[in-house]
Amino acid sequence: MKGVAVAQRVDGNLVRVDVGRDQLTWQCGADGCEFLGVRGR
Amino acid sequence: MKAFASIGWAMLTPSQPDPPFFLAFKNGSLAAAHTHLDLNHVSVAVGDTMVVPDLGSRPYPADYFDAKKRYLYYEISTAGHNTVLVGGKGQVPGKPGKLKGPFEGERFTAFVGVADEAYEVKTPHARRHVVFVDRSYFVLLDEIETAEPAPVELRFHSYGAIAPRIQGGWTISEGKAGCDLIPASAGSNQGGWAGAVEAASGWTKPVNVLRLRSLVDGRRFLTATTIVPSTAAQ
Repeated sequence: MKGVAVAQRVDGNLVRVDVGRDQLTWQCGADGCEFLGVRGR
Repeated sequence: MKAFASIGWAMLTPSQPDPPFFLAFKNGSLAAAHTHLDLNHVSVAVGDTMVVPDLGSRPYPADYFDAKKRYLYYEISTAGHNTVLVGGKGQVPGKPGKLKGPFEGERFTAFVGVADEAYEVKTPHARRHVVFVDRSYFVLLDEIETAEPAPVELRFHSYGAIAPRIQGGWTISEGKAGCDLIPASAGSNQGGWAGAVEAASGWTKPVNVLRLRSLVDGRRFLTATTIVPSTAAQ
């Protein structure tokens, strides 16, 4: 994890956060966001 | 991982006992006796060092028991915690919070702290997600929705040094312990964020605060912050 870069972007109702080689995804709507999971990129 | 649902606290750590690091997540009720205005506060420890601490309490002065005055003390205020300010303002005594979780899946454990309508500024949604990935690092996602456009600020305290990190973000270090705290780079449509390290005033001893502030007022913010304990960064 040393030197890891973190980026965030919004694709429609999905929020994707890239942490190094991992990608975390939330689905967001009017009632808030729900975490969908983490996967390798 | 340990959740204390009735009081809205959770602790995330890769192993017990004697965890190499942990993140403690605080929600609960702002109506509890002796409560601080600290919904969605996080504390981070590495080894025996609280690198992102809760400031705790000072010896109680007489006016601590005056409801109008106690919340003016820095360590009681929302600004004195590692959580979120909305419109430059903090949370309101008496408001309920809620801790949801744990949610567990492949490679992660997650909690959500709900602080909806708990702010002085009307804030229908104020939620902090904490995701613990691979028992190695943490990702916070703050979702803030206000009735009127307002700036948002994330705050993190440390008794150690807070230095810019070459790859972006900051490294917090105190002795041999530390962590990297990395806001997600832009790419969102929220106008960007600015970070600054300041000496916090109002506490009984010197402490630094990292302030991550939105550059624009908005009605909806979604912002991620990654925390990598130094032991996981080796």
